[in-house]
Amino acid sequence: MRNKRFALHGLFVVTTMLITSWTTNLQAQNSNNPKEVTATYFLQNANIVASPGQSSFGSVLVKDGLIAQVGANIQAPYDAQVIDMDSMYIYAGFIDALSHVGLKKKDKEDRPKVKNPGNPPNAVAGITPEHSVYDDYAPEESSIKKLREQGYGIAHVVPQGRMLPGMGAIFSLGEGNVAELVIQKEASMFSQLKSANRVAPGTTIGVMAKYRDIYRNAAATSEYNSKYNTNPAGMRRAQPEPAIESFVPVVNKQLSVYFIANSALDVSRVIALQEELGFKLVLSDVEQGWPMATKISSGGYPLLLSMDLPDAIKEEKKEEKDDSKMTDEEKKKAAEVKEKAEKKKKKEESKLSVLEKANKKAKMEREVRKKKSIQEYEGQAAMMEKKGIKFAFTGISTKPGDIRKNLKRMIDAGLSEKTALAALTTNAADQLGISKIAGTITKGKLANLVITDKPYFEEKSTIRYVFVDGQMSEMKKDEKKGKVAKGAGAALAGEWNYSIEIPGQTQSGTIKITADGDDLLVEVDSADEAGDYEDGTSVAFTDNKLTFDMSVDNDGFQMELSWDIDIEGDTMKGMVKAGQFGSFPMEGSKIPK
Amino acid sequence: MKYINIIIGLILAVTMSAQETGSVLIKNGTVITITDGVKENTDVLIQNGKIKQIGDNLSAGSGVTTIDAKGQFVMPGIVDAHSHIGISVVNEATNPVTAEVFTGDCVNPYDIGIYRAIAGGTTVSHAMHGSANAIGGQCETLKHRFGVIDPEDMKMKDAPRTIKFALGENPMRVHGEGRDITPRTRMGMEQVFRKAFADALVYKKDWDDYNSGKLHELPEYSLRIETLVDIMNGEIIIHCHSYRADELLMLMNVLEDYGVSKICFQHVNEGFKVAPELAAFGAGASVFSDWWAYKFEVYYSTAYNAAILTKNGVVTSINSDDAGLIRHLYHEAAKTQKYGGLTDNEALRLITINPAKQLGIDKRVGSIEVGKDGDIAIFSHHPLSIYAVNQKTIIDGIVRFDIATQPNDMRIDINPEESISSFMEDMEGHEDKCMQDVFTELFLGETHSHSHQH
Repeated sequence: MRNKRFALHGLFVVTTMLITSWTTNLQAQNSNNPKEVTATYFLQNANIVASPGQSSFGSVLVKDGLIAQVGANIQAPYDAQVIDMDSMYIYAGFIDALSHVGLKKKDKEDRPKVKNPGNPPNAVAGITPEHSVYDDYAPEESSIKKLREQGYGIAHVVPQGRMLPGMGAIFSLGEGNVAELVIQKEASMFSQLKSANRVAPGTTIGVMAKYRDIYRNAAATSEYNSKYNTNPAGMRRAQPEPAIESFVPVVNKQLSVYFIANSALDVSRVIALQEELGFKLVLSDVEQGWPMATKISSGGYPLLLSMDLPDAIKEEKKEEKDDSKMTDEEKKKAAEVKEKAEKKKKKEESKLSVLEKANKKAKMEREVRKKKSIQEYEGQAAMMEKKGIKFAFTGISTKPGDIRKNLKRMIDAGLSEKTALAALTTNAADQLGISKIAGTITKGKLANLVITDKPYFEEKSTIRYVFVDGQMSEMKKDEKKGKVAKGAGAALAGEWNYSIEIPGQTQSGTIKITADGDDLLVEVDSADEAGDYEDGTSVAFTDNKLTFDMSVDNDGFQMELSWDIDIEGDTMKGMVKAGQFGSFPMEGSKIPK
Repeated sequence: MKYINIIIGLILAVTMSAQETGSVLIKNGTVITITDGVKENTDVLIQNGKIKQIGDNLSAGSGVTTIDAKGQFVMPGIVDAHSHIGISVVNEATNPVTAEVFTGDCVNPYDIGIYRAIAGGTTVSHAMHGSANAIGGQCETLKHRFGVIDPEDMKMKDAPRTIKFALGENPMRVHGEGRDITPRTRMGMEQVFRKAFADALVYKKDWDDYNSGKLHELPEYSLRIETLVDIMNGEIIIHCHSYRADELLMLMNVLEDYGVSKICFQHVNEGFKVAPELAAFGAGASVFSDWWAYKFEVYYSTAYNAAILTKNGVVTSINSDDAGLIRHLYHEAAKTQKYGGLTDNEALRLITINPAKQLGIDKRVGSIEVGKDGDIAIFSHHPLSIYAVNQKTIIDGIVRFDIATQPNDMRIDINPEESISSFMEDMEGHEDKCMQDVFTELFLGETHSHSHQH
């Protein structure tokens, strides 16, 4: 009952506040977006993927935040802004089934000063089930925009923390204030096997014991309360602490428990707790669920798969020239070089000791197993699909920028596009109990839409528009790329080493610059996370001065970096401005090819 | 080819149902039964995981694997009463009493240490909580069914519940020295136990009163104190980390006052001084063969400890407490023949039926008897010989280790982001784990590197 009341309340808030939110948003328009002149949009001539596996050609009418009409033969009303989709693809807005989006990064925790580490205050122990994420959600957080740009319109947000951080809520990822954006307030209880920082519960076994303790206290309280409610004569009023009281809806199965279980062992541990205690479990952010597939399936547990994947092994590109274009002499030379290299290799191998040879072989065998292991992670979603286990996706531990890349890897490993789309839309809506208002392109549902120029899962398809609650954001196609004079970019193109002098440390890494005609693309990685490139935005190159901006996500902590670099031949020198932290000198040089 | 084996093995393991058992016939071995002498040229038939028959010229049904053990020695799987392999967490060191935690919650069946243990013939181990707290956590008895994927399948279901206690320097250092609370001395140690049991009595009375309507408000539920009540009800066997004779006598006095009798002392390096008292109390003793002087409270000991305890009628075992020693407990047992002159049977009992008794599982394992679990180790030579090499280890009638056919890389769970650098990188698991997960930096201010701290 409790859930339903909140759901209806949330809907009411959304629908009545939408109109007011238009006007406020018109005034407080984000300067990146074109000004909205109408709340009514007519998206004509589009490939409409109304639900996974169902597509048709036609138009969509968006009015007052809802999908007003969908079909082939509908007409644009007089007040609608007509946008010709030119055969682009429209999908229902994605739903993140579990997320920390919109939450401020928690300050680095100091070592807690606790008198008795064996019995710390609940807040230090990470036990705050009475807390609601509603109080944390910050609509101005840049993480929301980032997720929205990936096509997401709704997220089930849960608070950050340790073992029991609190209750989750479902939010629209649009713009507005928290009261306008909330769809369901106390939607879930969030749990993790994450221990406290050097106080009890200090380990996973401590967390599991504490979980039983809290659950059974709540169960006893619940039983006592119902006895009291029947006949309080001769009974004192129960006075449980807030944490126990707020856990009672979990005991009574009114709140589902979204429990993080990344590894196979954690899945098994969380299921063991569920079997013992009996709460409504949603296995969440599962990265390695396949060893426990039978258990997951027979227990009928709702499943949220992680979109995070282990790093792929970079295949070394063999640079072999196309010999059809070579002259005979070149061919001969190439063959000689090849023969020489092979001879050298053989000679080196013959010098190896027995131990070195065995070592080499063992290393190769380990590589094979590692590769196979990566394939298993990539194939998890496909395997669940094959076994008929329904799942939705969560992005709680995935960088928004990795989502499409990782989905592609899962599809390459056998996941069908239909199921992938369902996991982003309909399955997530079902799991969250919001399929009446979201998940498909259906008349009457929220106008949450993703519009791509090519089918979403196709390589090189780009998201062009995202609608959330009928609010349109147009993605600037070339935002990442800077214009340069013809030919100027060619000198810059290539890989550069850089180092930034920050007091007490030196940050280094690689800058990759690609020139594509007049366009310039800048990507930067750091030595700590080599190969994990961030894109530069607002790239410009004039008078040998390269400038670009970059947004770095450090465990949810956003930092804006502005680079200002003078280029002289193969060296660079300049400053990097890091928000309020100040500017730091940097230098670099081009890596010879 | 080897990988194909592993893959097939993994598929088998995945499709195996829980508590999967097998049938196998071991022919013509020298069978060391432990409880019924040594039988030359004898067959042992295991059917559906249990020992069905011991005798001559036995025949198995069709499809049952036959192992020719001619010239080899067939003994019951070795039981280790003190180990920390196969679990991801050892110490919840945040409080002097943590009876509520349970190592069984963190079983890790992928620990390669389990495979190495069965390579040494050890088929059962007692996965203990560490010794940071006076009353530590409950422990799990594991059957080394290496290859199973689900932690639940590694547990020895129906084994009695056990709990770790610890005396002396470890809890005194962690809590007394580190946090300036009781116990800081051995006097304080005693009071921690007395207070815990006294609290348990009050708790039990509160709940009894509430349930009978005498108490009008809801008492707080505490998994910790519930567990202490269970100890007092005789439902849990205590396994107590201990060294000195005085502290052994102290704990026996406390237990006597609260009517608790099920206890096995661990390490118990000064046990030889109070062996008659231990025997009279009915306490077990699980010791190292010849390991001491690694800290002040263990300076006084002897390699004759196991023999003296045995001769005084104490149920004695030799344990590993170590991922390395667990691979050759038969060597450890053999040392009692040099130091103390134990017979072959007395020596082998230290690593089979006696630890099984201490864990309350002697009706199922620890000897080769009809009706017991089909847990067998087959050695090339007599297991007390220095030339003995384990050939095969069978658990519940399934060959889990075979020296002839198994590949080098037996890991189950491969980290997809592991860095592959050299041969030797997989050497973790050799460090001592008795004080693992103790936040020394919290209690002592700075991180201390420490090695053996039993």
